[in-house]
Amino acid sequence: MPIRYRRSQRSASPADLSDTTGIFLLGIALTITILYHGVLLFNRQFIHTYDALIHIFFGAHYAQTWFDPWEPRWYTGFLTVAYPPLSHYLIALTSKVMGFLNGFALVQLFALLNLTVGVFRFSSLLVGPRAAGYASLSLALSSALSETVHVFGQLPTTLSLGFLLNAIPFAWRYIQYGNKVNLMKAIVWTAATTAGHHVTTLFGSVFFTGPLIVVLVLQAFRMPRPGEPSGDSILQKLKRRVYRLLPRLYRTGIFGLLAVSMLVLVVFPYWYWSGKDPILQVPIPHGSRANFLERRDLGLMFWVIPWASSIWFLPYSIYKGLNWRWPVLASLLLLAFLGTGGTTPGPRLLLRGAFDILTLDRFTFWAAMLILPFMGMALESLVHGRLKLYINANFGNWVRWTFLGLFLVSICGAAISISTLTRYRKMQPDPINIQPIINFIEKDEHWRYRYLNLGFGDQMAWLSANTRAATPDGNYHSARRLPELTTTPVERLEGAKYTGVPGIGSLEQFLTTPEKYNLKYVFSNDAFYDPTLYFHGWHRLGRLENGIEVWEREDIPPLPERLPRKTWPIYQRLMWGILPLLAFVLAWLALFIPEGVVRLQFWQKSGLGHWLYTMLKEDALLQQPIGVWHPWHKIRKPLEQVLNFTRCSVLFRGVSSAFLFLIVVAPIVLGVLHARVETGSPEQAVIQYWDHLDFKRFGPAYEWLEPLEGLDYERWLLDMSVVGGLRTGYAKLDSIVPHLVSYDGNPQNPETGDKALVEVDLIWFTSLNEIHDTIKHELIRTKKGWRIEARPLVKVRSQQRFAVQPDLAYYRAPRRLTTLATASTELMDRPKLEVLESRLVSYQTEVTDFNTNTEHFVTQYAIVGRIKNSDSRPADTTLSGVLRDKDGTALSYNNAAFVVIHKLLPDETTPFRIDFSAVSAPPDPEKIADYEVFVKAVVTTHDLERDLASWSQVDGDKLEIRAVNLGTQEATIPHALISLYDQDGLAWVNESYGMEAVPPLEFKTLEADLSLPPEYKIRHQRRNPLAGDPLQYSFALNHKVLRAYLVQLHAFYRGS
Amino acid sequence: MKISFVMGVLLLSIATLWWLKGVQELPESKLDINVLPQVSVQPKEGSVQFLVSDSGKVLTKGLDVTITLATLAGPYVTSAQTTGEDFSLDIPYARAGLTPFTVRIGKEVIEGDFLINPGPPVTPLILAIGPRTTRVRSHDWTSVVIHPLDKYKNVSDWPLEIHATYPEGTQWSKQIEVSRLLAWGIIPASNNVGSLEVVVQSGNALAEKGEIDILPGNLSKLDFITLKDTTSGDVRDTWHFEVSDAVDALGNRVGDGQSVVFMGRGKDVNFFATRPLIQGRYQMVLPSYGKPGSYSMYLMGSGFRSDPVAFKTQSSPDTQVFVEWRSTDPLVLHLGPVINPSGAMVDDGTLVRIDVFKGKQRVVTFFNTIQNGDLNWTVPSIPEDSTHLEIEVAGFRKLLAFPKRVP
Repeated sequence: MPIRYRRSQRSASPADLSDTTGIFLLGIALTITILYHGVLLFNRQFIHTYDALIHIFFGAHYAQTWFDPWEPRWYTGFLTVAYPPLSHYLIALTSKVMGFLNGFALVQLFALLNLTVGVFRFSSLLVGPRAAGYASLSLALSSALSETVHVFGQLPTTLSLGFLLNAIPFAWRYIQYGNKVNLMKAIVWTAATTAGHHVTTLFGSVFFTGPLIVVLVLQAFRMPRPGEPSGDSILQKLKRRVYRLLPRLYRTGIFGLLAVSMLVLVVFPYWYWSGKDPILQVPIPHGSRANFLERRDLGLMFWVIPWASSIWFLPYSIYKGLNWRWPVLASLLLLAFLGTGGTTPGPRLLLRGAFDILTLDRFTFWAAMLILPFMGMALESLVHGRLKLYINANFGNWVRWTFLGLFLVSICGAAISISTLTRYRKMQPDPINIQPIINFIEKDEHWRYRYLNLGFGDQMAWLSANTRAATPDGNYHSARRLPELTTTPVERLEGAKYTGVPGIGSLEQFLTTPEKYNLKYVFSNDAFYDPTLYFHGWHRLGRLENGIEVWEREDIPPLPERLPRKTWPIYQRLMWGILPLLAFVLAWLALFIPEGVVRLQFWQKSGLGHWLYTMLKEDALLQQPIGVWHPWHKIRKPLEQVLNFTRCSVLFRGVSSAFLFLIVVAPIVLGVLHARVETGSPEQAVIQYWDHLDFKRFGPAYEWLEPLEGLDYERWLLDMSVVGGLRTGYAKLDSIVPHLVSYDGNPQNPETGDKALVEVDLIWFTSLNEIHDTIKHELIRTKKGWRIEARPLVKVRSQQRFAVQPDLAYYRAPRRLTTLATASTELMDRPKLEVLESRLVSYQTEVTDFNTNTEHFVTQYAIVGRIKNSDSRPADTTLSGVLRDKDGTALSYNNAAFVVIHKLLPDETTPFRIDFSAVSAPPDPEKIADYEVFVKAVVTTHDLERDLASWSQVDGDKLEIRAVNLGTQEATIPHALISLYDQDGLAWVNESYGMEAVPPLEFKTLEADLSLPPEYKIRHQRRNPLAGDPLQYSFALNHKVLRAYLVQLHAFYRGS
Repeated sequence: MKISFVMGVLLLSIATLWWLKGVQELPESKLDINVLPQVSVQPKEGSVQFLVSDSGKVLTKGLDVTITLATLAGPYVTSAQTTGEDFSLDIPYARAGLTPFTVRIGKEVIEGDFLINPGPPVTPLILAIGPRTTRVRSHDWTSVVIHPLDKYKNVSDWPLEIHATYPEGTQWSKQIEVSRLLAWGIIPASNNVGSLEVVVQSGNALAEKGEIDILPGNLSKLDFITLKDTTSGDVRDTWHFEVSDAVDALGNRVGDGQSVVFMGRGKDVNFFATRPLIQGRYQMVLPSYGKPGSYSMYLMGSGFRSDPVAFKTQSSPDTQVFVEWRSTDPLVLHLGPVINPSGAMVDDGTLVRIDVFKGKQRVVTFFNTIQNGDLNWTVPSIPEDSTHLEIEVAGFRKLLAFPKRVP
C-alpha cells in the first residue's frame, strides 16, 4: 500500500514554498551575486588573494596529469591526495576552454550561486521562505563571504559549504518522512561536499547538520504515534518517548552511516595518505589563533571584518533562537566562540591539539553563515513584521527607514570595501608578469635546476602552475616533508621574513646548502633578502623585464634525469581521479529523480519485517505544543509582554530617538578623543618616532622632532636619504627599548623637567638575523610635549672632490651559440684552493625550541679555519664540512653560510666558520670522532670589490672597527669577519654588520665581540704545514687565551 | 647433501663452460656473436641481423618471433612472424659491449649474447682541459681529458696522440690509451708566461685546438713606498701609498687582480686592507685616522712580506679653537672659529667629539659637527655629577670644566 508522506507543523508548508516573495528575493540575491562577485572574479580580483592561486596550481596539475597524484614541482615532490580535489578538477576542466584564471573565476562563481541557493534552502528549514529570501540576500552582501572570496580566495570552502547546505534539506526531509529518494540525494550531495572539502563535511556535521537533526528528533518527542504505550508511570513515559523517537533515530542512523561511508570512500586516498604519512609539521602560527585584544590588526582581519555585516543581529538571533531552534543557536554561539581564536583560553581547551592545526577563521565564517536565517528573520520583521511595529511605535517610522537605509548603505559599503581591501591595503605584492621568468627558465635548460621565489606572495603558485621547473618551497605546507621545512613554523620560504627569525633561519638552510636541493636560481621581488643572498655567496645576474632580480649560485649540479617519486596504488589513483568528480555529477543528476511515493517492500508486509516496519514508520500525528521545560520561556514571555506596539507621543519618540542616537554616536566620539591624547614621557616620544620611521610614515615621524638650526621637513628627508645602509629597506624594527640616561627634573614626575637624554636600544630584524643598534637622543619639552632635538646633517667632504681609481674587470667569453644545453666542457674552470687550517670546536649557545616555544642552552659544533685561493683567477667557493663517526660514516653535513668571504681574489685568504645547528646539528654528538673540510670553486667574475679597509681598536672584550671606504662606490652594508687566534692558530671567527652605508673616502664605525663563545672546547684540529705562521697575518692581542686577531671587511653593494 | 653439492658444482661448471663457449669474439669484426643452435647473429652496419633456422629444415610459416635485447636503457623488443623460409631480422643496434638477448620462436626460447666492439674515433674529438690556466713553475699541471667516440657514439678504444706547443716554441708529445671509457694525460707546466697549445689526434679524428694560459707565479717582489706620509689631525687629510713593480720569482709582472694585504699598526690601533693589483701597481689614498702619532705599514702577498714604511699624523698645536661658555641657563658651549694651521676655517662637517667625564670615568660621548667654522652646543641632559668635558676637533684637544655644577 503506498504511503504518502505528510508535512509537520513546523516545516515549510506548500503554501510557504509557493511564496513568491521568497523566490523573488532569492532571484535578486543570485543576480547580486553574479553582478557583484562575478564582476570582481572575472576582473581577476582573486590574484591579490591568499589562496586562489594555490588552487589554480592544483588545477594546473590535474589539467596535465589527471590520474597521477605525484606533483614534483613543490617540496621536492608531494602527493596531491593531500587535498580534496573537486574544486581543482573543475578548474582543470574549465581551463581547457577558458584558461586557468577565467576557469577559477567561473568555478568560484558557480560555488557562490550554489551557496546562495543552499542558504535559501537551509534557511527555509528554520524560517519562512520570505525570511529565507532575506537570508540569501544577506549572504550576497555578507562581509564574511566578501572576505572569504575576495581577500582569502578560498574556493573549496565556498564550494563544499554550498553542497552541504543543499544536502541538509534532503537529509531533513528523509529523517522527517523517510523517503529514500531524499536519502539518496542527501548522500550524493554530502559526497560532493566531501569531494570539495572533507573538513566541511566533518565540522558541518557537527555545526550544521547535527543541530537540525537534533531539532527533528526533539520534535518527535512532541509527536504522538498511533498505538504508542500509554500510562503515567516513568517506565510507560520512557517507552512512549522511545517509541516516538524510533523512526527518526533509525533514519538518522541510516543517514549518518551512509554519510560517514561517503566521507571515507570519496576521498579514501586522502585518509590512506594521512594515516600512512602523518604530518610532522611544527605548528605554524596563524593570525586567527591570536589574542585579538592584543593583536588588533588580526582581530580586524579575522573577527571584525567577517562579523561586520551580521554581528548586529546576534542579540536578535539569541532572542529568536531561544525556542525550538535552540540547537541551531547553540551551534551558532559555539562557532562564534571558537572563532575568537586565542582571545580566551576556551577555544584552545575545546579544540585541544587541533587548535594549533586548524585556521579558526573558518569557524567565524561558518558562524556568519549560520546566523543568516536569523538575520533574514530580523530583516523580514523589520520590513514586514513586529520589529517594524515596535520601532514605529517607540521611535518613529523615519527612524526605521533611516536605520534600514543606513544599514543598506553600510552593508554595501562594507562589502565593496572588504572585497577591494587588497587594493588599498596591500597583502600581496603587485601582480607580477611571470612571462620573463618563464622565458629565463626555459632558456639554456635552466629548468634543470630548482629555483626559489622571494617576495612573490601567493603568486609563486601562479608561476609554478606555468612552468615545469621545480622549487623546494611550496604553498601547501600540509604536504611538505623536508625536515628543513617541517621543523620550523614557516609557511613559505618565499615570505620568510614574515615569520621572523625562524623564517629567516629556514631560508638560510636552503641558501647555505643549495646544492642539496639543486637550487641554482632565486627570483627576488623583495630587496629585503638581498643582503642575505649576497653574504651567502649568491650573485646577481641582473633584472628581468618585469623588475625581478635573478640571483645565481655557482657550482650547483643539475637535477637528475629522473627524479625520485612516491608510487601510489593504481586503484587509489583511479579512485582519486573518478570518485570526487562522480559525486559532483551524481549530485546534479540526482535532482532529476522525482521524490514520488514510498512503496512497501515485500519483506515489510509480514513477519519480523512487518514488525520492524511498524515500529520505524513515520506515522506521527500533529505536534503537541512545546513543553514547559524550556527555561528561557520564563525570560521571553515577560519580555514580550512589556514590548509596546502602541504608537507613543511625539515627545517620547523624539527623546527615545535622541537617546538611541547618543548610544550609537558616543562610542565613536570617545574613541576619537582617546586617540588624540598625547603621550607624555621622553621614552614614549622616542618610541613614537621610531615606530613611525619603521613604517616609513615620515610625516608623523617628523612631528616627533624639534627641528633646530633651520631643519625643515625637506632637509630632514634629504639627510635621511644620504645615510643609507641596513635601515633603508633591509630591516624592520623588532623592538624599541628606550632608557632614560639622564633627566632634568624629577623622573617620577615628568611634568617637572624640560630636557632629557634617552638611549634607545633598537633590535632590527633583517635577513641577516637580528641586529642590535643603540642610538642616543636629546629631548626637549615643547608645548606639544616631548620632542627629539634634530639638526641638519653636516657631512665632511673628502679633500678629493674628484677621485679616480683604476678598476679591475673580468671578461668571460660567451658560451657557444646553441639552443641545446651547454656542454660540460664549456663550464667554468675550477681554481686551485687550499685549506690552511681548520678546527672542530664545541660551544654553548641559546636556542629556541619551536615546538614548545622555549629557550635553552645546547652544545653546538662548528668548524673554523682559513682557506686561500692559490689560483691566478678569482674563485667562487663552496666550503663544506662533514662530521664523521669513528667508522668514517658522515653524521652531519653543512656549508659555510655567511661567516666567510665566498668570492676570493687571487691569493686572497678568508677565515670561515661552518655552524652545525638546526637540521645540520649532529643527531648524536657523542659519536663525533673526526671531521672533514672540503672546498671547491669555479672561476668567477662577480662581487670582487675589496674597497673597505679597517682601523680597529681593542676596548676590553669589544673591538671598535672603523670601516674606511677606499673605493668609488658606496658600500651599502659593511660586513666584518673577526678572526681570533690562540697559540695554536685560528680559534674562532666572529662577525659584525654595519648599520649605515659607507660613502667613498668616508668612514663608519662598527663594533664586534672579541671573545670566544661560552664553554668553548677544541675537539679536533688540523694544520697545513705549508700554511706558515698564522700569527704573522694578525695583530697581537693582550688576552688570557687569545693571542691575536684580524679584521677583514667586505660589503654588500646596493644594485651592483 | 654431498650428492646435491657435487651435482650443483657439476651443473655450475657445465653452465659456465656453455656460457664461455657461447661468447666468441671475432677479430677485426664489428660484431661478435654467440651462436646457439638454430639462431645466428650477423654483424651489419649499425645493426645486428638475427638468422633463425630449424637445423636445415624449413621453418613453419606464421610463427611469432620476438627478439629481446637486454640493453642498458631497458629491454629492446622486436617482433615479427616467420615466412616459411629461413628467418632473418635486422635490428638497428650499435651500442658497444656485451648484449644478452632472448629469441622467442613460438614456444621455444633461445638465449645468448653478442659483443660489439667500438669502431675508430671520428671527428670531432671532444677535448676537455682543466684547469685552463696554470702558473709558471707551478706544480699543478693541466690535465687533458678526451672521450673519443666512434660514429655510433661508442667510446673508441683507439690510442690518442697529444702534441703540446709551449710559449717559447718547444714541443711535447705523448700517446695515451683509453681506459675506463676515457683517455687522459697531464701536460707539464712551463717557465714562460703565454699560451700553451694542445692538439689531439686519434686515427683520422681531430679535435679543436686546446689552449692553456700560463700565467705569472706568486708575488715575489714589489716596491712599496709612501708618497705622502704626514697628515694633520683632520680626518679629511690623506696619506698616499704606492705599490709598484710587483713581479713573480721569474720577474714576470704578477697577474691583474692579484691580491695584496696592507697591514698597519699605530698606538692601540691596527689597519688592515686587501686590494687587488692592476698592472702590478696600486695607489692607495687613505684618509687620516685623526689621532696624532706614528704608524707603520707593510704589505703581504702569498709568501711575501715587504719592508715596513712609516707614516704619521701630526698633532695640531697650531689649530686655533676658541672655546667659551655662552650661557649657563641653558648651558651653551661655543666653539669657534676653528682655524687650521694654514689659517683657514675648517671644513663644514668636521667632527667634534665631546666626552663628558665624572672624575676619570667617561660618562657619555657626543658627536657634533662644525658648520661655518663654529659650533653652538646646548649641553643636553647629562648625569648630575658630571665634572668636566673633553673636546677634540681637527687634531686639537682641550679639557674644560663645567661653569657650575650641572643641575
